[in-house]
Amino acid sequence: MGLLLVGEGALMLVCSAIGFFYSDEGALPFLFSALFTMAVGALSLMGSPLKKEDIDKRMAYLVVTSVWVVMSLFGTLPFFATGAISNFTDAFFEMMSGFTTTGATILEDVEVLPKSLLFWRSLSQWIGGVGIIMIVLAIVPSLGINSYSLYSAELAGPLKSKTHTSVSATVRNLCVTYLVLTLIVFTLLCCGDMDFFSAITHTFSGISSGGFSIYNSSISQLSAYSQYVLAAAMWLSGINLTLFYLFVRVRFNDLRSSLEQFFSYTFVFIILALVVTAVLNQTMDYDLSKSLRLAFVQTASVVSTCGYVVDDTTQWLLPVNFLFLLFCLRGGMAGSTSGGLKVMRVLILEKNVRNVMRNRLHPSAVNPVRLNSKPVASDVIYNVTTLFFVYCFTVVVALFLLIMDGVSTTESLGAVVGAITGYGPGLAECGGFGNYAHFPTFSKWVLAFCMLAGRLECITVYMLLLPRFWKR
Amino acid sequence: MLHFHTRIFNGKLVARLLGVMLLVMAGFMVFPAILSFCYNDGALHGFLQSIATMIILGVFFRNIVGRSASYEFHEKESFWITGVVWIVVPIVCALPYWHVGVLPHFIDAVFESFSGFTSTGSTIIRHLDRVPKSVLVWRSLTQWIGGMGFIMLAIAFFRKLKVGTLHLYSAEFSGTIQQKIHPRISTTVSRMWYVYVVFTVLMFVVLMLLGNDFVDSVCLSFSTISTGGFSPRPDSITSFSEYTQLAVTVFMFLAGTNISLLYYLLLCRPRMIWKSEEFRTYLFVILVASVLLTLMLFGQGVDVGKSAEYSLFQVVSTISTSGYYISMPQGWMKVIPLFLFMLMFFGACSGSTGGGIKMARIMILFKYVRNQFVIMLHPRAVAPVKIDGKVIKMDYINKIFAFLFMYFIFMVSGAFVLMCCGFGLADSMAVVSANIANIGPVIDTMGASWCYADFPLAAKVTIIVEMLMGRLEIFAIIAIFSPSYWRR
Repeated sequence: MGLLLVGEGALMLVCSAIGFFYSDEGALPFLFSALFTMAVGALSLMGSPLKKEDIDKRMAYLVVTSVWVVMSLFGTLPFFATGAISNFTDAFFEMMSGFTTTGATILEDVEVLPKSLLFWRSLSQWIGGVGIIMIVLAIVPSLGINSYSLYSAELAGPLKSKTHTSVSATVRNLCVTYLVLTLIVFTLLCCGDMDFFSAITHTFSGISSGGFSIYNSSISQLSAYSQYVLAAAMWLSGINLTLFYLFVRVRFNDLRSSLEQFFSYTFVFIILALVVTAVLNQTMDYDLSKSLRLAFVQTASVVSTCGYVVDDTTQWLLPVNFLFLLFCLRGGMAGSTSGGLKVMRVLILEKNVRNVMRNRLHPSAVNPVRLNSKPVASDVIYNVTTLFFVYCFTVVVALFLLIMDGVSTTESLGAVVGAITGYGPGLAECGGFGNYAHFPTFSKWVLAFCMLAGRLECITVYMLLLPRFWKR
Repeated sequence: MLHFHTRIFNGKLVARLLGVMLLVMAGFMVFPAILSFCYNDGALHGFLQSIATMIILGVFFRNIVGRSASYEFHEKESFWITGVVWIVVPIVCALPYWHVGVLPHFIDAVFESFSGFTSTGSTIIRHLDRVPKSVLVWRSLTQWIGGMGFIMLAIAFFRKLKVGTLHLYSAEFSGTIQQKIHPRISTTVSRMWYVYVVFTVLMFVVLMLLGNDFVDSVCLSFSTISTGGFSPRPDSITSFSEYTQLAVTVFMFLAGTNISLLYYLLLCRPRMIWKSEEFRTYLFVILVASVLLTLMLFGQGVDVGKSAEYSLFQVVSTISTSGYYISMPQGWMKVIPLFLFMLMFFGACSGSTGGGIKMARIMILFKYVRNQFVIMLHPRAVAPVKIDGKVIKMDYINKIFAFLFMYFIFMVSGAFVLMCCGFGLADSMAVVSANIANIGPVIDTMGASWCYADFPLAAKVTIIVEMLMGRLEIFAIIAIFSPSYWRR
């Protein structure tokens, strides 16, 4: 934990450097926050002589959840120090939205912020993206936490082995992949008409499926080329990172184990985009190329739960927005930075339902749920269904709390789904180019909790709330 | 229809049963026809016309298409029988509304009929006060029949059906935890009908004693015992006396409990009832929700007695999926519709006439999820889900999950269609959830119900589908339309 804080402080130093470079007013405050964070980190590092091997299962749950909370807590420091956000709730919401790669903002006017802060926002998403990939793909399977057994089941070849060396090798490989992807997107964006700063911030937020933009109108004013590049980046960010790695290493045999999810993900993306294109072309009097562009970019943003907004989507038809909500809930592929339930789970759920129906007609037939033509263990199915239930339950409860707090029904639904899936924008006031500034304080906390729960797939977080967890 | 005449599929039996059901329905229709004759309300001609049509259709299916049918059947036929009967009979039984001229568009008549037979209670009739009394009785009678179900009727009357009745029974009647009163299905079903009739008569007597007129009492007792929710008056229960409202509350509560438990009640064995975990949960949820709602209303400055009365009525009406309502004064509270909306997801007890997800399912889900957490923490722990001390099999829980997923899908897609018709997000969700749970009217902020007559055609059809899906718990209908059903 201490190590993480030191790391976070170091990253703030980078922001401070950016501040100096652009000579804005954010440089010095960043320096202070960085030093403070590093100091706390170093202290806690010295104070706890915990060896790495000591981590047991309960510790793992605790660590995973608290990483996000602590990172967000300290991440708020620069906002106070620069005076951009004076309110703790707002700052925490913003940072939680950053580290969980959600992209929901409470800032009414982003463009007045110092560049260093803007950079910090996007960087937090990028770090959040690395974090979830490391935790989900590398660390957690080695601990054998059940709620993620899905991922370990999906991972091919070497990633399955649980020795310490291969875990760190995995982490290294994945980080390199992530870095390379970031570099590619950055280069492509620079090739267009974007300047260095906006290119790097958008790369960070895009490849991590985050969705913070440095403009009030999100990415709508960027050139068509940049938007297409970002659409591609978002689409990539919803794909299992391991796939890229395996693809580069030409290990197609291992690749096959996630092919079904990949096709389902891409197929849905294209179909949805085409449908939206048709609807936009018919209802919004945009010409074909414009509606095609808007549809593809926005759909990419939805299926990867990124959250960039390419047009004032609140003006689009309600059914389209509703579809967007649903596909946010579906999310991207397991093992990517995207949120939602994940394509693989939805596939399993769907196949399971079909199976149950078939069994009712032919009660004695034996037909397991198959994914990539391999049978899925019933444990995994039960896990997925549990998660689905818990997920729905969270949405309903959060919805209830928000409405009780005085937020309108439509807006609450959009906000809760936006938060829990990590998409970001919701419906009505908080959708499109809107923001969450006008939400009551309590609702902001509920939403921040939803972001955390959604990012860590509910079960990890709820585990901590069980009294049984703290009993020994 | 391709496999209709193959050797395996007993299509003739399906036709024969359909014919019989149509004849039975024509028989039931005689009752409102007689009433119409007594009251001379001008609907007699329409009813006679409908009865004639139904007899012709019934004889056609029973004696011509289904001639010399064998009585052997399997799962496949049982789904098919359930599906066909549930789709065709309500459509044919929509004739009186059309013939009498209450609903000039046939689709509206079909809507009303489905809303009746699925015991939902969404009404499409704009001016209930101008409707002939016999039609009001027919509306409530359809709910009474649909509350138990056509198949239950068929099993009770059709003693020749022996093999495979269990499939039929479970294809229609929601049995989560089957508490069969008797090992033989047909005996169980007869006893259930007995309980059903006894409680209906009881309620009718109580309502008459409370000073309601004949038609009101008949309609209310038919619609309450079946958890239907059609009222003979346009403002639902609002204009009835307070004692009548209380009586309705009590009978709604009873109607939402498992019928086999009511059987024990008649036998004066209350301990058997208390032993049921589902019943205790049902009671608990109702009490907690009523108290919460009372507190909310009290917080708004309504006096305690009035808010408690209102809360109890509305909570019981929603959880038992009846769908009666008492209009509340304007400006009471915005949260009430939302609160009731949340309650829609519980549903009544399994084995009752109510709809929704059902209490037992919810209980099993919660227990299961709780156990999953324990297992995740202690991987070697063994934690089976138990209801009434009995272990529930994993297979069964998986079925519930599948059901829940389908329920979710149908809700969402229904809401999507409504949104395409131009309704708002919150409205569409509320309307769809109320109809798939067979509740019916949606209480909006004004305390009044929706008028389904203004809905566009696509929306009406969607709602009909939702009602049917909710009533048959999705699988029976889906099974007929799924390709794997027809394979082999």
